[in-house]
Amino acid sequence: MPTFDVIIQGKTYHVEIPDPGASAPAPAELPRRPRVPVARPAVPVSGNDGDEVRAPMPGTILSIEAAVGQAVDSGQVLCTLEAMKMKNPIRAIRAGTVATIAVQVGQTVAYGDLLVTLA
Amino acid sequence: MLFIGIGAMTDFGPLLSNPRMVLVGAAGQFGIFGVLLLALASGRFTMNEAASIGIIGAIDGPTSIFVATKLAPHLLAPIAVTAYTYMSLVPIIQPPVMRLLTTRKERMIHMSYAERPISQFTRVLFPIVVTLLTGFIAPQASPLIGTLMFGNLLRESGVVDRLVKAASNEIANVTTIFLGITIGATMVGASFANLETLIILVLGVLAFALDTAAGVLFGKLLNVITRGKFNPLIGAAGISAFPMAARVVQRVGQEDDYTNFLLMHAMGANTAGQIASVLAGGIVLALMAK
Repeated sequence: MPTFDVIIQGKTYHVEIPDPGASAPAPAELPRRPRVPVARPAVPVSGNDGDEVRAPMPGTILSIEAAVGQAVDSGQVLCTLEAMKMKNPIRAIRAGTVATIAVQVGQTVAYGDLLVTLA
Repeated sequence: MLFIGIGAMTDFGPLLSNPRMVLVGAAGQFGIFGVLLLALASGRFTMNEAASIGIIGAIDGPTSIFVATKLAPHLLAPIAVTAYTYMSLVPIIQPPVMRLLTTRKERMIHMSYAERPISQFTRVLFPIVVTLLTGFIAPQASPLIGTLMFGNLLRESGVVDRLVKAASNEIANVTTIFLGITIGATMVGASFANLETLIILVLGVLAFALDTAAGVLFGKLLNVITRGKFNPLIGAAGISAFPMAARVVQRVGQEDDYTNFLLMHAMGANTAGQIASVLAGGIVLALMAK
């Protein structure tokens, strides 16, 4: 660590300046980060980042139109939720693959319950 | 009798969890007064007859029949036919009016749905309080509201299962059949196949359109007040046709955005519309009785 003696208005100040090389490692490490994102794409595959389709209202699952592993288009019906004697198609918000199906036919769901996850 | 059955079938939960829907239900009755005035303006009907025709705008078969028998029994047949015909046509009459009065952006407004548990106590108290209030404010509506709420009390009390089943199935069905036959029997050619019936048919569809328009416009007002958090389509559900109107709202909303689920909100407005239409019938009776 280089040291300097700085004289200001007759007074001597002993100044230590941390090694420029020592402060550099932080920025120097940043460029190295891209290595982490390289590993990241693996995470969504495990289902953590996949979109979750949740029940928009309480009701009963009348039918399930998709299977785990099936590729679905945006807008494709995933399952039918019956509420107030009305069949409501629950559609995929985006194209993807069905990762998990959290409900069974005949199951009663509450508002916000997880129905399907898309990967 | 029929109202007991309807009351036993109705779950006021969606309304109780969102009481401001009462206002929407009130707005959905505009057609009654609009058509009442139009019928008077046509010059072919007396005040009582005009009121009976206006009540078609309640979009409630039993209410229309009840009011017509009291005020203008000779018009019962055309009024009943008109009310029931258009009620089954709600999914055809409403959507064009709804689309005409809203922008695509408005139709796509999502509404947050908060499920608020309603205590059994509130559920039981509700029919009792409404009956008492009606008795004080509009006694003429008591027979209508009273039976409706009595049926609902049976349901919510949870201790008279057999009565609830009987009311919502057998009693309601038997009454409907008798009602249909009795009214059908009054449709004598001379009193039914005439110009008045035609005019009533036209006024009836106007009443439905006016109800829908008023509801949607009121929904737009609510949307302004809540700063864009109220989908005006819900306003169209403020009529009595249950649960048809709510389904229509859900369907029209989904046409533009399939991730939009308005059904539960619309159900609240729809139940409010049911009560409001019965109340409106009572109020019209009260006004005419004087």
